Amino acid sequence: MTQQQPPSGGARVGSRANVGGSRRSLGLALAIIAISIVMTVVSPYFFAATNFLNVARAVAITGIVAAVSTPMLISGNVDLSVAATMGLSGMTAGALLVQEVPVPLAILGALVVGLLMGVVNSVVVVKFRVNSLIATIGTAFIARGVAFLVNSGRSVFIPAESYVNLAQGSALGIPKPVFYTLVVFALIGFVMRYTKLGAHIYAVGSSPEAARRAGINVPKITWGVFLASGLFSAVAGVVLTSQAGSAFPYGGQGKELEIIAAVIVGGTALTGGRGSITGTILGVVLLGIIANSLNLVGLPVPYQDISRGILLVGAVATDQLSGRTLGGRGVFRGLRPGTEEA
Amino acid sequence: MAVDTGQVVIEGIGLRKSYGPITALDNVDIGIRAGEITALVGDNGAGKSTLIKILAGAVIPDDGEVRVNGRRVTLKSPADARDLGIETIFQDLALAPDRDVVTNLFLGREVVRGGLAGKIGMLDRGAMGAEAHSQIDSLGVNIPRSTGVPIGEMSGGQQQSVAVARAAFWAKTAMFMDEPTAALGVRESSRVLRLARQIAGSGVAVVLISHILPHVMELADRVVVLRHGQKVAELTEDISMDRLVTLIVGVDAHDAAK
Repeated sequence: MTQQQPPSGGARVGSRANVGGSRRSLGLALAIIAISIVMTVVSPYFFAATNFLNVARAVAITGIVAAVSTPMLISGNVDLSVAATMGLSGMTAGALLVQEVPVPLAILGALVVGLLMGVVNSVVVVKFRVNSLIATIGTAFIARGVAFLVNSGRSVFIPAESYVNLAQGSALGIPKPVFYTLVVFALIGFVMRYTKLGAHIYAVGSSPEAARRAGINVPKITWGVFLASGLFSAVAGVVLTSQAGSAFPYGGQGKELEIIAAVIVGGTALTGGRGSITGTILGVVLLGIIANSLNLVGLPVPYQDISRGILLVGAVATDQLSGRTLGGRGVFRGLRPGTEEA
Repeated sequence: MAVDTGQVVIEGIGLRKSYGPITALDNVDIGIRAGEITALVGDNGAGKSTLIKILAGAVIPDDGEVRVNGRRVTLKSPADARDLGIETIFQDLALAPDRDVVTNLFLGREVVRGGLAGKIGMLDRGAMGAEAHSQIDSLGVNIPRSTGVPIGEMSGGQQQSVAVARAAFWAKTAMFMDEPTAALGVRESSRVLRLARQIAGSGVAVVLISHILPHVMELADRVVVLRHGQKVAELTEDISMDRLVTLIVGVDAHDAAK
């Protein structure tokens, strides 16, 4: 307990963030449509089924992790170890498959590694009260290091055809990874929107102290979001290695920032308490369409990074101007002395 | 309510609590009565908050017992107290600012649907919305009815009204208010205090901790004065400012001023 604060959120009076939440989704949808119209005029290749399927394939794997990162951010935490978990779980599956472990067991092994990452993150955040941003930067280094140790830094060629068939190619004309992504989005979207668990995740992110006083088990919610994050990052790692036909120790490297950018562009607050899966889907699609468009007009990859950066900063700046403040909550809890609430 | 006005619904007997060498509460007896507003006054460190927290399950006493409706109970957590219909309103940090009124009224006690949908935790938003709005109407609270508006966008008084409405909704036995107006302006304070009176009128025992003695004198049916962890007085009539100040500080205010 520290200094008295005005009734929770008093400083935020006047913001229109919730209305802004759906307004954000509308804005993103309009941006996607606008870019699509411009690109249809500019490039003959843009408005074509194959191109849209390319975009979907390109964003499918980061989409899985963006989906699970949405409740993570809404709960007021962040997991920067997701990409390293993708790499480590993929290497685990690859190493097991090379040892001729049956495919289901190899996948199980990868998922267990993901869950273990979730356990480690939960222990560090809940038990040792380390801020999640710091904790998961640490565990990301560890996981990436271990991923390199698995096969002495070398990638693994995956011999099992049934494993590769899980995500390579298409079914019903649609790239297979897209199906997994849609299932994950539907599942997490359902939980967040329609269930008690989802309501509790929002409550914990909005005010951990209010949630605790209302009888919500805050540590349990924190455990839950980190376990889910580890598990679905591992799923993404399996899809990634299946699609590639090999496992790389650097699999997913750098994706964590891209993923969090998509979630935040989608309107989820890094301060916790606000956000939606719909917004995240739109954020992922918008970033995917922009990357695709820049490709089609022949701008090299670095421009994609630049556009992502501008979009992210622009989106958050819009939030600030419309009154959504950070106020030392959410991920920022415990980073500054005197803002710890619990 | 089934309980008659004036009947003791919560009783603390011989309550003691120490924090290290500091005695926060020393052998205090207290009876909280249905339909009454009991004010708890005392200087900082007199033990008011400790006492209220013991009765609300947030602090476990070193010694003594708590009876609710005549039955001895062990309150290990605020959840135990809530199960007995005892609600507490804090001065801040009790609401989720990003969530709307309905969500906050049911925070931690969400209603789920029947059958299989309920088993997987599907919320029954319709039922919660209807109940919340009838509660808001019956209290005559002035809070925006539109759903989806985060309460963080409302005024401090409106937010505290939401907190009071929530406590009143769930309080079947007693409602504790710990400095409920500390962060509010004059008009907003009087709105919250009016609600307290209304809720007591429905037969719930209301306990108010306040430093603002005019509020106490205006509102309380009974005033319990604590000093250095001991109960020094329990007044039901002749409650004057002078008398309260004298009891709170332990010397005659007029003598001290000379």
